[in-house]
Amino acid sequence: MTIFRDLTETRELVDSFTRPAETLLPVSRLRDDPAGEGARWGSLAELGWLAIGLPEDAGGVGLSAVEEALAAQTFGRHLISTDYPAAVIAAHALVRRGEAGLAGEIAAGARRAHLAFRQRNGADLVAIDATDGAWLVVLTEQGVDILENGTATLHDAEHWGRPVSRIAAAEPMWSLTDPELAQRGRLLVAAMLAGIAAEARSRAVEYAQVREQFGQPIGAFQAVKHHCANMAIAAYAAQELVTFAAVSLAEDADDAAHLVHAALNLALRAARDNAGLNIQVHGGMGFSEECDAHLFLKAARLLDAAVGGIGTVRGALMRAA
Amino acid sequence: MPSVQAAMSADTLEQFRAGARAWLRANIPTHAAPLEGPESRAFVLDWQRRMYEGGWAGLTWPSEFGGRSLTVAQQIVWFEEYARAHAPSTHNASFVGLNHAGPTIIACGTDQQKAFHLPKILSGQAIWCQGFSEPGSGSDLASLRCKGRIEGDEIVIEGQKIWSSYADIADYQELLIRTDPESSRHKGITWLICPMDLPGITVRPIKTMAGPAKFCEVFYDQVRVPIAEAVVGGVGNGWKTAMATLGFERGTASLALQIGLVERIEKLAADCTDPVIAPRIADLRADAAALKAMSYSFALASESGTPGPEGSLIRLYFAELAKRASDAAVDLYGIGADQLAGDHGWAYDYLEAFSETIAGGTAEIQRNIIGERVLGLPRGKA
Repeated sequence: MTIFRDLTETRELVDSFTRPAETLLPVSRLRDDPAGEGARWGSLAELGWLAIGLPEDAGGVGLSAVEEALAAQTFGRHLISTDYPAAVIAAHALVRRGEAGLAGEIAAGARRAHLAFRQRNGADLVAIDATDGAWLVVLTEQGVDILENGTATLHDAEHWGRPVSRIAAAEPMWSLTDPELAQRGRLLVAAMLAGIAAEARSRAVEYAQVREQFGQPIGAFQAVKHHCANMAIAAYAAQELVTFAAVSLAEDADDAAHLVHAALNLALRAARDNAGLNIQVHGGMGFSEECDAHLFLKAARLLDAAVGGIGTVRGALMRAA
Repeated sequence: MPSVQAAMSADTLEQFRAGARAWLRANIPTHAAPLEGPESRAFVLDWQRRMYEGGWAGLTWPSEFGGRSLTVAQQIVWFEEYARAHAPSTHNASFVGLNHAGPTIIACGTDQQKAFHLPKILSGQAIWCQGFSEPGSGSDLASLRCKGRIEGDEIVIEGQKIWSSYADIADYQELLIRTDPESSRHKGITWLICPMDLPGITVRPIKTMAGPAKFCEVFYDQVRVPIAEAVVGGVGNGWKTAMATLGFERGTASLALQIGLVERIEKLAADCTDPVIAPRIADLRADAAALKAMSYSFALASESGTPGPEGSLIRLYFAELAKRASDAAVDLYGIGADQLAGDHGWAYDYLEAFSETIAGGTAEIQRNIIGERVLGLPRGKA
């Protein structure tokens, strides 16, 4: 059954409450301050951004997966820390465990959580932005694992735009099996990736309009124009599918799992492709650290890893009904 | 960006779906559709007549022209059921009438033109073809040279058209000609209705790489049409009239084809047990879901206003997905498999798909259009 929903007002609402991201989360902040969101975290929490989809009786805003996914697209454009999906997923998990008080602490920004995933060799955990002892949140196939973060050691502060740490595998503090939550977490990541794809497109197009070579803006050359067109298609497809999947998930429709896996698959490809093309369109500048283009690529790869990589996502999509 | 519009209660839509499903089950043709020639004409007209009599033709056409004035959501549900039932492809000889000529006459035609032509199109009494491309004017349509000389209240047509699908079995052609010999590019062009049985018209079918001879060349030797009956949208306004048609082509008209492709990709995913091909099919399945998300959202948004420029993105996305899907299907099933055989198997689809990134403006032109009209990038120096 196909669900048709008018999202005009929903989009307006989400646009209005996520607008402060323009000033609060300029991408340029990551040049000087690559770890976490630091002191900004309290401001994000105050704006209600960590609790958009949480029920009101747990201190949340009480909106649905649709608003959550639309907002996450905007935060993705601003390369918000992966602490963001970690906090949202942990808060949802706590509410479902009947621990609304702890969920409220997360939503209020008082308790922190970092996103982590199992390294591909299976032995270790890898955590992003885990520069303190806060909880680690691991998205599993059917739910979430929450772990303590006592022994993280910095593994790579150089290559991924944010610090990457390793932790020897440990038993979770607790796990929650909840397929709907697992879908919600994946949708959140897909939405951030769609945001990355959209922002990379916008930046490439903007640059192609102003950068001149051979006496005209480089965007006038078909080879560059066609890169931009491909980026526009990828971003549009990812954003539309994320929203379509969010409506299905919010309505508990029978195609929700299929659509969420599809959205994640598509958004993973759109984000890495667009981030790569944005670097290409920026030419020599795009390869420099000074240009922010590389940050989108790195953020896309971290989110990619956090959901187990494209191969895992393809497998899950093929198994979805 | 478009948004999903509320149409009606889910219950009402599901009742509508049940009605569509039941009717299709009882009425779907038992023989596969012939792809060319007089058999194709008889089949298409008969199927269209049956849908019309059953109340399933022109769902979103205004009721004053014989349609049912239903919502786009209902149209989508009908096409979903249509694809699910494996009903005959809508990319057949009725496509131009239902999706180009009809909507253009609704938008720009005179009352007499509407009263005469629209009921014939909807009820399966007339086949239409398109006469836009010329040997020297393909992607660059505005360079067209087929002439129309005005003599009193008549236009005398002289010249040639090409790639005119089903011209050999059509009753009418939507024809673009240059009526002002001094004009160039988009000015001085006229859109007209040309009956295909007039003296001076010669049609020569062209066999395609996929097999059937459905494309045609059409030659016009002093073909006379009366201005009042034939011209739609005014003499010299043909480009504007044609753009109304193309806008429609890139919007809701393709919904049935898009939904049909999604259905076929879902079948590929269900049939795929090969772990080597599975990752490709997974990506196709994701892309199919995105095609659905985009085309539904776009169709619903265009219900309440003019379609936005996103239509050109969706059209190109569909074309390239159709090619990749049929490419994967040939790999998945392999040459010699039943799934590839016959007029409606994947071998035909695979070969036919090569036209998708050429017809109606090549993929390269589509990317220029997206770059310039959607993203605002500058045109290159000529």
